[in-house]
Amino acid sequence: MSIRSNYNEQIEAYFNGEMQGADRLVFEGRVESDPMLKEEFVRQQEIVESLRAHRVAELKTRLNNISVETTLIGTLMQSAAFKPVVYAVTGLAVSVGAYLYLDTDAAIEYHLQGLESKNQYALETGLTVHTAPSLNYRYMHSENILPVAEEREIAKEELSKGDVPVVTQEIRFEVPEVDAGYQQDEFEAGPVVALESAKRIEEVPSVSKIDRVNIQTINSRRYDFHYRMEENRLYLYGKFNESPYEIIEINTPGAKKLFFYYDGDFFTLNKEATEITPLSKIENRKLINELDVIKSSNL
Amino acid sequence: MKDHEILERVSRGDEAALDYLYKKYYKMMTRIVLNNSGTEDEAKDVFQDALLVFWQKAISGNLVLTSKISTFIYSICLNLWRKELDRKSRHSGEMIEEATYQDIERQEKIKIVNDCINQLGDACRKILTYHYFDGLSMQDIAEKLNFANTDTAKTKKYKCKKKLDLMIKRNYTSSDFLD
Repeated sequence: MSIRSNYNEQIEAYFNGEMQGADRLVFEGRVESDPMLKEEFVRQQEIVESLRAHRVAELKTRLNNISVETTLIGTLMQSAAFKPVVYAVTGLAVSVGAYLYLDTDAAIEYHLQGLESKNQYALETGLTVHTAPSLNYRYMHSENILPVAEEREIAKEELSKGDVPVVTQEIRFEVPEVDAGYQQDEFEAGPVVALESAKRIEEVPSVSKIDRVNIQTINSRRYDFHYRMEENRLYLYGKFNESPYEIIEINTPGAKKLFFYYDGDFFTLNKEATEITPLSKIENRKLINELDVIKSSNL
Repeated sequence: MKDHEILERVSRGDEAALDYLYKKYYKMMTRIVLNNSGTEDEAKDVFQDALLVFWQKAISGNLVLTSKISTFIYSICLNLWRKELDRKSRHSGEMIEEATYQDIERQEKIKIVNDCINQLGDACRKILTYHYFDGLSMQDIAEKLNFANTDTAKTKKYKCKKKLDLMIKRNYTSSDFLD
């Protein structure tokens, strides 16, 4: 057996992993001290390393051809330009949130602007800002003593003037004229049925124009059972969806009194309450009875 | 697929098992790099390298798993990425050294060897790479490449290696390989 052939066998055993432990160390020492052996060893090492690299490249190509779901966010997040944008937007959102949380006035202003936009959109598109089917039964009470025919004419005139009705999901109970001596159900039929409260109601002078009060409920975490009036619009803060609510309007000369009914209780509404105000429950039994009569007479 | 089943298939050189692991753990493993200031490409490289380390160890039959395969690959990914970050930080302030004459000569040699490997037939290339990288036994190579028996695989491997040596020698004289 030639020296070269013997070298080849040893080198082969070395790269196959068959040469282990002390044999391996001894062989490595010989490689360093024998130029001929080293020449062949280096050449074989180049070949083995290249074969291994070739196999690695082959397997990696195989793996690269496997489709793995990469998310859009993952792809974008590796972009150097996208990361700062995400961080900036997040920072801005946190700052604005903190500012609005700490500064109540700014928050209200921001909220009002939002509502304004919503209302504008609703008016322009004919859609209502109320999104849920309403428990918003609204009763408008007036004590105008007008013949039915006349009222209908007025209604016709108003329509003919081109007033565009705003479509809402509110269920509207309009009582064009209420004679103290009539109950609403019997009004069409004509018989006069006197109510216990007739005298009191007669004592209250009436105004001829009925202003509609628009209602908007706002789910607020900060305010519960609060309200705010603005330009004939009532904003209710809190959860009012558990039972129906009603607005009772009583017209007096040059003024109008508003009452709010919810879940068996009556509340006073102050038209001047432009700030968010808690709803104050009416405790006066007499007033409650009167309001109850008015409310029930219009069911 | 259970871990022991995967391990058994990998030890036979079943590449479909590798594909399965790649798909299954891609998101989990690449997240290590992505969450530690790496890019998607770096994450993919690290995971593929880790998977190949597992592949080689499993095929060699020396791998005794004391944890789940995912845990094992996860720890390899973590180590590889730490090494890469360490390498980056060490080289970040250094000027890239100019390539020496020896480097250029070595690169040329490697290019010649690679060209010769590519010129080998498909069967020869597979036998040699399965043997030198995967460490598959002659029996496994025979089964994988549908040879009649282990002896056929041994003979073919010997002939292929001789052929490659000759091809390389034709391109370089022996003195070219020594400084």
